[in-house]
Amino acid sequence: MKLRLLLLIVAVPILLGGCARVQPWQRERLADPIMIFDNNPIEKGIKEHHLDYREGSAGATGAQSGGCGCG
Amino acid sequence: MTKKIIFKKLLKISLLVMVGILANGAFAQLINKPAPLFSGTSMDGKTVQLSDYKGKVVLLDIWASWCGPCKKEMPFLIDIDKRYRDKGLVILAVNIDKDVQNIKKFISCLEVPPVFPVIIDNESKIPPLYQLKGMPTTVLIDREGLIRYRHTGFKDEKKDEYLKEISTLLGEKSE
Repeated sequence: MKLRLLLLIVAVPILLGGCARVQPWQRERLADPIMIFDNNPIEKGIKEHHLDYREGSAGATGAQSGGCGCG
Repeated sequence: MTKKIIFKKLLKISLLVMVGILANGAFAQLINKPAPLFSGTSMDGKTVQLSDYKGKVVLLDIWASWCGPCKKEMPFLIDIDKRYRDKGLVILAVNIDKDVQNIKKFISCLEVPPVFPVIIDNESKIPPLYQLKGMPTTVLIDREGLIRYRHTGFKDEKKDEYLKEISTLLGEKSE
């Protein structure tokens, strides 16, 4: 039990260390159109734009906004 | 009883997280603080330093050719440069593309190319200075060198707000 707890204490910070925030200026590769998970990226872009205006939500969707997280 | 203790601890942790987030937001604003100084090389090979523009109103735009709203904003910047250049407005566009060819390709597609300096920062040294939250980031610096307004992202609806802010800053006299 103690060993498991110790492993958990050691493993959690190590695993969390792998998480990194991608800064807005580091998103060039993510903004590539190939990163859009959709069969029809253009249509998805239009839908996102529509949603942005109707619901005031924007950005970080990977569609048309380029993944730069700014709408 | 144990549940109560756990709940109290969770509450304390969440309060700490919330305070952290709020503090981060407050410090990130940089409003009314001196604009971090930088220098860089423009596309035409000239050295551009922010300190050279003290006494002028500076619109600093950090953009990239891979960012949709940045591309949308560029013609607007070119237009306001034309309108306010003689009144004392200086536009500095910092581009963070890794490949200079992408900037050239984008600029060649514009109806009117920018007259203001496009500074190449392909190592992204300038964005962290201004604590960017998104792209593009537009910062308005007054004649004293203080950051007065900043905007993240770009929408057509915000154009009037930009113009109003520029007019306010241009109307202020340098001490």
